[in-house]
Amino acid sequence: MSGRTEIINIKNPSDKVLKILKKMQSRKEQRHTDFLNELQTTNP
Amino acid sequence: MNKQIDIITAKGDKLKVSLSSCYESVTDTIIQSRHIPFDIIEISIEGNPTNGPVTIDTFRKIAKWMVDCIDKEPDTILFYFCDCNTPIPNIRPSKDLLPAQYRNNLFSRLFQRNVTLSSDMWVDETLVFGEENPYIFHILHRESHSTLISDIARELESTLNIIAEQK
Repeated sequence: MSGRTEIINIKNPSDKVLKILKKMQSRKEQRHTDFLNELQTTNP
Repeated sequence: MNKQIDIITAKGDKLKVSLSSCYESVTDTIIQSRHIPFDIIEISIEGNPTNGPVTIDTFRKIAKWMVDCIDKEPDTILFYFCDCNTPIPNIRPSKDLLPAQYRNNLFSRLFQRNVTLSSDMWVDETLVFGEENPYIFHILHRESHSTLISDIARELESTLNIIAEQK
């Protein structure tokens, strides 16, 4: 790996894009909750 | 690609790491116009380390597993959507650094410290949507895919717009 780091900024995404990103965030949180539930089930 | 592994930390906590193909519509559109094959793979790391912080050794295991998975897959581009709400376990919240920014920085350091694991030249890329509370994608790709990244960012934004219109 070169260790080079680049940044692409999309400073003003549309409201529609923000709405989908928010849903992606919710899905991420749901996945985390599912993982915690799975842990609870295997190690009650 | 669809691969998954459970990694146990030195303190006995379980972390679930997975790699899976995603954004096929983005991939297909760009491949049709650029004729450069590539595959976007989403990284997911789930964990709730209650027994102690995740050490650098554990992160190294995660990095090694990922590099082993993708080293023989020359068309792979790795995507990680940085969770911007879930607090970082065992880390005091920082006013200066949002959880998504912390996760993004952690990914950079994790891979830069493991440069010797891969024979390829890789580049760290950060795709940031918005300014105040940004949504951040961390992208890891080979030098050979550098010319594709701005296309992917543009196409991803347009795909997100199309998905929103359909709903």
